[in-house]
Formats: sequence, C-alpha cells, structure tokens
Amino acid sequence: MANLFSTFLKRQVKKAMPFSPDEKLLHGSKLFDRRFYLEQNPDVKKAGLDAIKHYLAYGAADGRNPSANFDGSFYLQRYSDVALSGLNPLVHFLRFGQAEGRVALPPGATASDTDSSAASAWAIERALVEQSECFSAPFYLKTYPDVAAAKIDPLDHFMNQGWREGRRPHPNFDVAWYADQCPEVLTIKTNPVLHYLQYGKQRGYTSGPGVEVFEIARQMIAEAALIEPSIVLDDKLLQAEELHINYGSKATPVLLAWHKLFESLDKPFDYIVMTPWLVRGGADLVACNAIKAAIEKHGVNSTLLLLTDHDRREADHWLPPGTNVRVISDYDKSLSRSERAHIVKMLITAMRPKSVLNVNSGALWEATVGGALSRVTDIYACLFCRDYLPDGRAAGYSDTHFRDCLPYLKRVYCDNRAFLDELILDYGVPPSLQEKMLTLHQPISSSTENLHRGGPTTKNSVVWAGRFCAQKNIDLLIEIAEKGSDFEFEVYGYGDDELTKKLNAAASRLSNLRLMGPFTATSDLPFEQYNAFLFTSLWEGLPLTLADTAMTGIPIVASGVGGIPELVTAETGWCIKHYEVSGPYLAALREIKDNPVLAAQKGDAMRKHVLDTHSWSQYFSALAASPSFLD
Amino acid sequence: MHTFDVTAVINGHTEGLMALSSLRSLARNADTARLAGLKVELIAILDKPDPLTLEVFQNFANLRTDIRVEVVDMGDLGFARNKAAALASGKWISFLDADDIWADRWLVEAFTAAENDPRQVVWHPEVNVYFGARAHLFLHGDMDEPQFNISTLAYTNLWTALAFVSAEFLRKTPYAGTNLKQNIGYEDWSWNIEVVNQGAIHKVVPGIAHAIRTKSVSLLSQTIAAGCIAHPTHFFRHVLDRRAGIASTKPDTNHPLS
Repeated sequence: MANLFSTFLKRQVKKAMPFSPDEKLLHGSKLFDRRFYLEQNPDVKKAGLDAIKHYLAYGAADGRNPSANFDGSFYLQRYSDVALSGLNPLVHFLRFGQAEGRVALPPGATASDTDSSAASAWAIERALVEQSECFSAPFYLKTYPDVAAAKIDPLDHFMNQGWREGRRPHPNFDVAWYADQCPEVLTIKTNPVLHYLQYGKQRGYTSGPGVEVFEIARQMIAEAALIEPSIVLDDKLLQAEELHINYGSKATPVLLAWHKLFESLDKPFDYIVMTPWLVRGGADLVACNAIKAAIEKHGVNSTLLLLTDHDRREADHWLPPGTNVRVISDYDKSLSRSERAHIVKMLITAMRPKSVLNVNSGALWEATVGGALSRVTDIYACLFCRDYLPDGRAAGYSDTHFRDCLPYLKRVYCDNRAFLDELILDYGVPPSLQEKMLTLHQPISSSTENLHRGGPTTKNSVVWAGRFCAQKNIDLLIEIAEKGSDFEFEVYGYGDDELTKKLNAAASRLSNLRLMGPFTATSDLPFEQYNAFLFTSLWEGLPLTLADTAMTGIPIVASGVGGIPELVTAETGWCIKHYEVSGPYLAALREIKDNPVLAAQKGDAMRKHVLDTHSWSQYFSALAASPSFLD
Repeated sequence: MHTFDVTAVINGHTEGLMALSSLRSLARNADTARLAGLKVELIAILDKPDPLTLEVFQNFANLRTDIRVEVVDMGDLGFARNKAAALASGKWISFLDADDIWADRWLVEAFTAAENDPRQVVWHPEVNVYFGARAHLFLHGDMDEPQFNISTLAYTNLWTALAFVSAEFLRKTPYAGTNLKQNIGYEDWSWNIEVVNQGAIHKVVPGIAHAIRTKSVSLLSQTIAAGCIAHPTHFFRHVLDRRAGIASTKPDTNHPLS
C-alpha cells in the first residue's frame, strides 16, 4: 500500500474550510438572492439558518432554487454531466457553466431583476391547491411528523418540496398513483396536484385508488380484529384512508425508464458492452474495439452497446455500421448512479446475455457489487489506471470497486501489466484471483501513412498534444519550455479553464511556446514538422494515442508512469524515470537533437514493437482467449 | 373427480403463539366455504417447526379434527408449498402463512372467480392490509388491466404468495428453491414470473383483502440484505425472442437450483 499512500501524499493539497470558497462565490453573485431564498423557503427562515449555507448544504439537493433567475432542477436535468458530478448546480454555473455557454433557465423563461413575478405566480398556485380538495393540512402534518416538528406551514412545505419527495397531500391524492397515469409529471418535474387541477382532472385521470379500496381495508381490519385483537391497537389502522399505499407498478423514475428501455429492445442480445458515454477518449476507443470484436465474431444482431451514465455520443462514428446502441439517459437524464445501476441489473437479469463487458460504466460497477449478477451472466471489466480527485485521493474504479467486485468478475482486462501488478501488490490479490487479471494491448487505430522522416533540420521543434488537466502535468510542460529555450514547443489540445489560462499566460511570456488549438485525432497531427514528441503525464495506463503516435516513428520522450515503460523503453524511445522534474526531459530532447541517427533507430524499433504488440489480430486473439468476453 | 373443491394450506415454521390467529382464520374460511356448499380440505405444513409452533398446531388439531398436520424438514418455503400441492386432494389450492389472516370470504370469492374464468389464472386478493412493524396497504395488480406492463415484473414482485390456484397447475409449475448464500431469493417473485412464463395470468378477486403481518426482521429483509435477485428466468428473453420472431424454447427448464 506504500505506493498508494505516497501517491496520495503527493496529490494532497491544502484544504479550505468546507463551503468557504463556494460561499464566497455565492455571496458575490446576483444569482443568489438571499431574500428570495428565505421567502421561498420559510422553513429555513423560521429555523434562523443562513440562506447560503443552507442552499449549499441541503437546498440544492432538495431542488430549491437560489433565485428567480436560476433554475437548479432544470440545470441538472439539462446537463447530466453536472448532475453526475455531484457539484452544486449554481456553483458549477458560476465557475464553469457560464463560460461554457450553458443556460440557467429553461427555454421561454426570462430572467428578471426582481423575484416579484415568480413569487406572485407561486402564490396563485398555492391558493389553487389550498382551495382544492387535494390538500389536507391535518392529514399532511399527521402523516409527516418531520414537517410538524419543524413547525413549517404544511402547504408551503408541500408546494416547495413535498411533491418532489412524493409526499401525499391528501388521503385521496397519491402522487405516484397520479404519475402512473401521466408519467410526464415525473419527467418534467411538475407539481402533480397542480397538473391534476389544471389538466388531469379534465382528462379523466384519477388522483388515487378510490374510496372502495379503503372500504375493503376497513372490512378486513374489522374481521381480523375478531381473531387478532392487537391489530386495532395500532392507531394507523383505525384510519385506513390515511395508510401509506403501495403497489408494484407504482410510478418511479426507475420503473418508467426501465419500461422505455425494455420497450425499445426488438431482440435479445448475448454480448453487451457497457460504458458511461461515447466521447473521443481512450476508454471509449476500448469500448468500440470490444464492440467491433464481438460483431466480428458473433454478428451485429448479438451485440449491444449500452451507455449507462451520460448521454454524450461524440464518437458514434467510431462504431461499426449497424451497431445496436441504447442510452439510459435517453429515457431519463436525471437518474442517479444507484438508479442507473438498478436498471443495469434489471436489464441483465431479464435479458440474460452470455457476457457483459464493463468499460468504465459506473452503473455496472455498482450493480456488480454483491455478486448476484454473476449468477446470471459472465461479467468482464476493463481497468486502465488510477484516477485522482483534485485533492489527491484515489477515486477511480480500481480503488472504489475493484476489490469488492473481483471475485464476481470472470476476467479483468488491462492495457498494461504494470497497473495489474500494482493492484495485486496494493490489495494482496491471491494467485487464484490473479489468474483473472489479463493484459490486453489495444490495437492501434492509425495507419502507417503518416511516417515521420526526421523532422525539420533548421530548427529544434517539439510537439505536445493532450487534454489540459492535472493528470497531464501542464506545470511541468511550462517549466520544460522555460528551461529549454533552445527548443520550440508547440502545444495542441484543450481542457480546464484554469490550466488553459495558465498556458496562455506562459505562451505570451515565452517566445518558444505556442498554443496550436484543439486536435481531432493524434494521427492527424503534422508530425513531420517536429523533431520529437513530448509526453508529461503524472499517471497513465497505456494511452492508445501514444501508441498511435509511436507508429509514426517520431522520437518520443515520455514520463515513465503506469504502463508507458512497456511501450517506451531504452530501445524504442526516451522513458523518463524521474518524471516530475524537467531536467531529464530536456536531456533526452538534446540527445535527440544531437544524435538524429540514434533517434531514427529508436523510431524504427518503436514502429516494429507497436506492429508486434498492438495489431488488430494480436488484440483479437488475446481477447478471444477463454474465458473471454467473446465466448 | 376431486375429493375436495379447495385445499386450504397453512404454512408454519416458528410463528409460536401468533399462529393461533392464522389457524382461526383458516378455520373461519373453511366454515364459511362449507356453508356455501364447498368441500374444503385443511392441511398444515410445518417446515422445521420450533417446539412451541408444533405444540400450537397440535393443540389446534386436537380441537379441529378436520385439519391434517404434516411436519417436513425442507427449510424452504417454496418447497414446503410444493409438498402441500403434492398432498392436496382439492381441485384448487390456496396458501396462508401462519402469521397472516384471510378475509372470511376469501376461499368462497376466489373459488367463484376461478370457476367462472376458463383461463389459467392465479388469483390474489385486491388489497393487502399490512399490520405490525410497518402498517400500510399493498394493492395487487391485475394483468387484465390495460395499463399492466409485463416488464414491471423484472422491477419488483407484484403479488404475495397467498394465492388461489389450480392444484394441478401448481404441481406442473412448482416453486424453485432459494439460496441466500448464492444471492437467489424471493421464492414468491420467482414463482409469479414463472406462472406467466407458463402462459397463465395473475388476477385479483375484487373486494377481498388479506391481512399480512410485518416484522422488523423477516425473510424479505434478510433476502434484501443478502443482495438477492429472483430466481434466474428466461421469461423476459422469451418476450424479446417473440418480438424478434425467434421461436423460443419455452417453457423454461433451465433453473440452476431446481
């Protein structure tokens, strides 16, 4: 565990007091309206709580809005990446969303300087519910003692949050019963009582199971009391109409989404790959390769790709033609991780595929815990490398789920051996389980056409390409440029705002550092304009983009982390052991500059190595080795 | 020809003194049904009973000689129900757990509904009144209702096990075993799915309720804690096969624990 602990220490940063930076952010924003918040949430006002503290700690999670000009529920529903990140919606909007062009209000809603219009609309709706036969304050207070204990006005509570929590406003109004007839109240998150009064009643929808159900219950209780007198000692059973009502088909977001998913299936599938989304990342390529292999072996009609955690599909074009794809978010974007895991569990137990491959699907990792799913299908998983939170804590699936799930997995595939060995060491994986852990080199995607022929002879030019994020060690890249004034550095990529700003500042300060903008694929980069490729990651698996780059034969100088030493060796490139300081990188770049013959030799050796270990046929036969996802 | 119209079965285990209320409910139902002209057989199946429960049942049987008490050593509620089906001489069979209570007219109303529907139907009460630890109402669904969605069966169990069914059908469609250590539980949920897999449907008897006792620790809570799923079934796959126009291998004979 020493390795893990030292990594944690390295990543550890100073921690601020909980909420204090976010509190400061909200204090300075017009989008947090303290007066609006307290008026909309009299429970907060009555309790004498600080509005901002309450909103950050509880209010946002309850679906309460910080002002008339920001709709948190809408924001989380529209931007599922924010919802899944767990970030406070307003904090996300102020820190990132605004700059990214995201919107704070639903289409048609207009921002206002005051909250008066929203407040008056709310008052009108409240009065409508109050005057209807759908709300009973005594029933509400009796049914929900927490509301009574907090001394909150029961109707205010129902209007503000009770309906969102599925609370029953009246013995004759059951929120789930109503939603069962018109599921849109759940999907558009509308107060069901208002929906009933304004639309549903006229359409013949019913607000509850009907008085005859309570009459049957009363009769049963009376009969039972003759032979089981204790039954009437329970006060709740004396008022049958006040009993909580349950039924199997009770409309819940999970059930509604499940109905839609199951309805969408036109056939069963035997091989399912589950991945969170399909963006242009390394793991997404891994998922596409597995789909391609399954289709190659079993045909397109046997294979399904399920996107479990998000709805992003930027890399659809990577999939073989005709691939069957389903996206859980298409049925409800707002589902939580555990709700998505429930749907995954239902899909597998219902469909009973021969095997399922997990490529970073949080929902499937969650569903695998406990082992029940392994009774109905063979589960395989891919791991890549550790992932870290900004404060340095390891938080990838290898740390959160691997240990709990390994006994129930048929195999774990990893694109490099180093990470598997690290896991074996850290978790004391015994030999019987080590057998499940297999290195699977992914196939390269680029052709050999973009061959590097030595680069320019008139200048010393270095290319860096990647996402601007903490993992890629942008600070070190800047330091290398600062100290390597005898080189020109051209940087392709995009990423975190803060790091982008930092790079822009460095580029305006350093004449030898230029930002070249985003790139679509590594294979499209103009390698011939450069003498060397620089790679500075702090942690990695074995990035396929590096293997693609290696195929061009351009000399590579890379940090010796994760699985990179399996690709970049003394024979094939310059693998930097002391990867956190600039000196060894610059020494390597200078050796390339001074010894072009050696650089060309290493480039040739690298190409041969990649062709040997990263071909499609090598990948397919390794994946097909039984027990296999393809069995 | 059947010797009895209905075999009423009470399943006991470790209910102790609480079983007496259920035994009385069984007897009241039998008396009501007999008054209506039905021939009713009463069987008690005690699966690994504790001494107190056994004594309660034996005392009751001494007073009501029309009840037959069978002690079995199965340790599985589903298998105990299968044993009752094997012993039953009635055309129809219905189950009562030894801590629950039937509405007095359950057997009569369920018999009437069953005799008047030519389809293969498993009958359930319309309403369940849960008493004890968590008082609430549980409403049974009816597969004839237009909004009934078959995939809901993968989401949750829709019916309790206190059903009224053809004894012959039950013998052909027995309960599968459970094994909490292997994450396989919910014998009633599994059987309810298997019923539909065999082409039968679940319906409710209108206007009738059962009273179900809830305890802070129950077989259900133990099953949930063990992270169980219902017994693996090919039913939903058959549904998808039919959508795809593929001939299915129905009925499902691939229960790993059967």
